Amino acid sequence: MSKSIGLRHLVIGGLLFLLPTLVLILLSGNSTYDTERGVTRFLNAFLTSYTIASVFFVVNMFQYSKSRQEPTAPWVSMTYAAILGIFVTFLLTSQGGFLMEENGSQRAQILYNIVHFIVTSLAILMAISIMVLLSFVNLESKEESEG
Amino acid sequence: MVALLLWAPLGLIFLSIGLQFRKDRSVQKIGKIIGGIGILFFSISFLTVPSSPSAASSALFVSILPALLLMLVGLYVALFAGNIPVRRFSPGMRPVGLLMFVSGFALLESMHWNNTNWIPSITWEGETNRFWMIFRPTFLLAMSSFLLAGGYVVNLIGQRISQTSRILYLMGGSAFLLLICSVLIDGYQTSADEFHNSVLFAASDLLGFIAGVGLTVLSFGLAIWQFERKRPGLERLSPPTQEQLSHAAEIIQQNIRGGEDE
Repeated sequence: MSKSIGLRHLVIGGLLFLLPTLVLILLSGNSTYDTERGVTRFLNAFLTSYTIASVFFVVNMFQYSKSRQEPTAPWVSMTYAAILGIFVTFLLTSQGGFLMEENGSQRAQILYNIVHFIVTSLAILMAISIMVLLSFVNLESKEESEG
Repeated sequence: MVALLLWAPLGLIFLSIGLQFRKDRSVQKIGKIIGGIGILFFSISFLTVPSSPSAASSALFVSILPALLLMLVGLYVALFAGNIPVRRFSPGMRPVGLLMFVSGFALLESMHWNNTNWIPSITWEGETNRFWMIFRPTFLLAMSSFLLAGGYVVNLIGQRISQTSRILYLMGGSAFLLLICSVLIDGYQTSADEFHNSVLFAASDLLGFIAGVGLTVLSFGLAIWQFERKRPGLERLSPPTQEQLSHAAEIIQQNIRGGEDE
């Protein structure tokens, strides 16, 4: 019989998710890690994934609008969300902006963010695919588990 | 030239993903062709526009492709050769699939630890490909985090998956062990300290990615909820009459098949 998942289970799951990162931070003792650059990387990853995912959802909203006899409200509000992401990205990557890394210009930084997002997404999607496929590979048939 | 040979193919890949959500099968097929062309042109962009800094990502993609394909195809074969109703391969193929997965993972790891001619290179313009220093730490960190958390959650939700939970813990633990080794021992091209920094940056990337996508999903849900709650509610139907119930029972009776014991 399956057990119900409560808040305590979710917290333990979340802590297990963060465990590798926490251990690596503890191990970083004398490392030359630049915290400010880490924050910039977090914000760039956050803004880029938010903006690209928003644009992707705007496209999906068109499908939803069609199924609801063409209402415009949902995709208009999602378009606002995407525009907000684009606007904030342009604002914070302007010359001398908070989110500029080692790239020479705003355009170079934005294009770098997109390629960075693709590489990060590929790594994360691979990890998730392995988790899902490994889970199904090891499922036992009903007869096998009862036998 | 960079826009045409690198960014346009990437645009085609995004367009292809978008087209897969259309209901029309022919549009989906066109999307797959467009995606294939995009991937092909992006893959060779490190040859066509090597001067672009982003071409390093294309070189990395080609280098890691054999390892990624071995892992995914291996798991796919192992999954569909198992004892499941929708089996597609003979049971003898299951160990072959698992071996392919392990080989793919070993190949990906050996790219960090070894430098021989038969292993795909992670070098770009005489230095370590900077996108490799993003991909590998993110992959290992995401794998250890997702698999350890997944192993715990999977153990909670079902009775036939205790073996699955153990395997997820084992693989997640292995990925984590490899991360620890990489931050303590120098690779053939990168120092342990350099890699440690990359892993901490990868943690920023991973958390930023999850937060960004999470916020988008939240906005998406809110937009739909706002719209749906303004729609008029469904009209309440009156309960079925005795005549309608008898008619439904008749239809159900006609469609029930099977012997006494079923």
